[in-house]
Amino acid sequence: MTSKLLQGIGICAVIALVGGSIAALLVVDRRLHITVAEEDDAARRGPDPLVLLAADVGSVHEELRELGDGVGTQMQALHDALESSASEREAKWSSEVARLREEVAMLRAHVERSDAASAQSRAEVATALTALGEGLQRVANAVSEGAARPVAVAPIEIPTAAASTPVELHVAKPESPAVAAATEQPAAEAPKKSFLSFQLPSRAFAFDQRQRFAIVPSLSRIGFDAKSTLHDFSGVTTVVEGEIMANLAHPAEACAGSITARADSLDTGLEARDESMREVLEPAKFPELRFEWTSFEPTKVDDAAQKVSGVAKGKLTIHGVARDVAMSVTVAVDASKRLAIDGQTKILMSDYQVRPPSKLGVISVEDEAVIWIALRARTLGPAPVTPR
Amino acid sequence: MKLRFLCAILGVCALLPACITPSVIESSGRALAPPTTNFEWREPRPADFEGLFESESIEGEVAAALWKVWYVFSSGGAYSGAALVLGGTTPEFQTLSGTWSLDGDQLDLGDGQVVRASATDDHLRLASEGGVAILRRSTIQ
Repeated sequence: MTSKLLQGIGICAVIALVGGSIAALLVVDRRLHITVAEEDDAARRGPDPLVLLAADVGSVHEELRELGDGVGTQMQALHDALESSASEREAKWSSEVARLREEVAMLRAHVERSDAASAQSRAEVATALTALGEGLQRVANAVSEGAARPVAVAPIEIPTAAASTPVELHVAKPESPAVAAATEQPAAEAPKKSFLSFQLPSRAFAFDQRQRFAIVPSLSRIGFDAKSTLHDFSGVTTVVEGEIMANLAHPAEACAGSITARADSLDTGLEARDESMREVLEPAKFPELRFEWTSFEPTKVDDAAQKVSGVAKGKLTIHGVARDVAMSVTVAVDASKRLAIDGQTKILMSDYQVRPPSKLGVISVEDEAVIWIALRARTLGPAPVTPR
Repeated sequence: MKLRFLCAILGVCALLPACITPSVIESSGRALAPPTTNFEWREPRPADFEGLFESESIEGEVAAALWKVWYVFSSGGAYSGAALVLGGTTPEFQTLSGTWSLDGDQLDLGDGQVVRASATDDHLRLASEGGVAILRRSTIQ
């Protein structure tokens, strides 16, 4: 039964499948239209070259227009820049020309001044030559008298006229060879001299230089000579100190200094006499003997021998009383380049309120006494410059 | 009698000044001489150099620039020195050191510096071209 049922179903299914296929074929046949044709020529050949060329020409034209616009802009900028530069150069050259004109005017004025200075210099040279001639004449006169020493006449140096600055005239001062050697300064670059392995400046001392000199106490003393009815005697002290400033070659110029000694150190060689002296000098009250050296009047300056003579003026203070004195002084340079200062002057003890000692009215000391100095001073180097 | 006594007194008074030595210093003798001649110098021995010395006087051309020197000599042959020297415008110290040796009166300070030396018990005299220095034995205080 079942098998018959299955056969029936199968048959029905086949019938249904065949019927459906036929129906589908009919439907498709109505709806589907197939056209078979040849390929289009235009599509087969691609885009039209003329169109493309036209498009390219249009693009190039556009670019050329833009380029023309750019070139025009640049040319305008260049033109503007050239115009600006030209005006700047014109202004610059105008100012340069004005400056050169000013310089020419200044040079012209300078030349005129130089001409005037040259005329003045010629006049000064003439004056200097006249003075030099007179000096030579004096030397010649002295030589003829047999009293002159060799004198070196330094050359006159005259700058060339090419100098653009006002002309300076240098007339070297005539000096003896000894002075020329002595005036060389102890410069730092001066050659050194070795002594005991130490390096010393070869020229620490200069005759023609304002220097400070310090008294060397161990080699100096001052004293007095007095006369008494019994016999004459001297009193001395080595307790001396002081400083002097002087230019030995020109001692009249700003020579100054001070020398002090201890009054209670004076020694006459006799204790009793020293006691009498202290009674009148009162060293406890007036401990210092002092000479303030204020000026020097040279009578002779011997450059070659490095020796100076003259009168030292200043104030001498004894027993607290200061009086002006003029002391004959000789200053010489010894072998150790120290100043040997020797001098003396006469004073009256009564001028300084010093009562001359007297014993029993029989032994008495005269009122007049000689004050003397015998000093050695070493250089301390150049003195401070003071206006003359 | 009285006349004789009076004459004797007058005679004594007249002769009294002659008995007292005049004490006026001659003008030529006023200056003090450097103390270079107050010593009896002899040839030095090495032992004379050992110790500290300072200058008592310096004479000669170098004295213008050389104010003071000090030396310390040791027995081992070393020495050290200092000097106060006037330089440009102000004094300045120089120091040095080296070795020393003695040959007779020739003191060799090295670097070719040979000076003539003489001595006392407490002084040295060193002479070289340009000057003479007298050194006094010193002590450190």
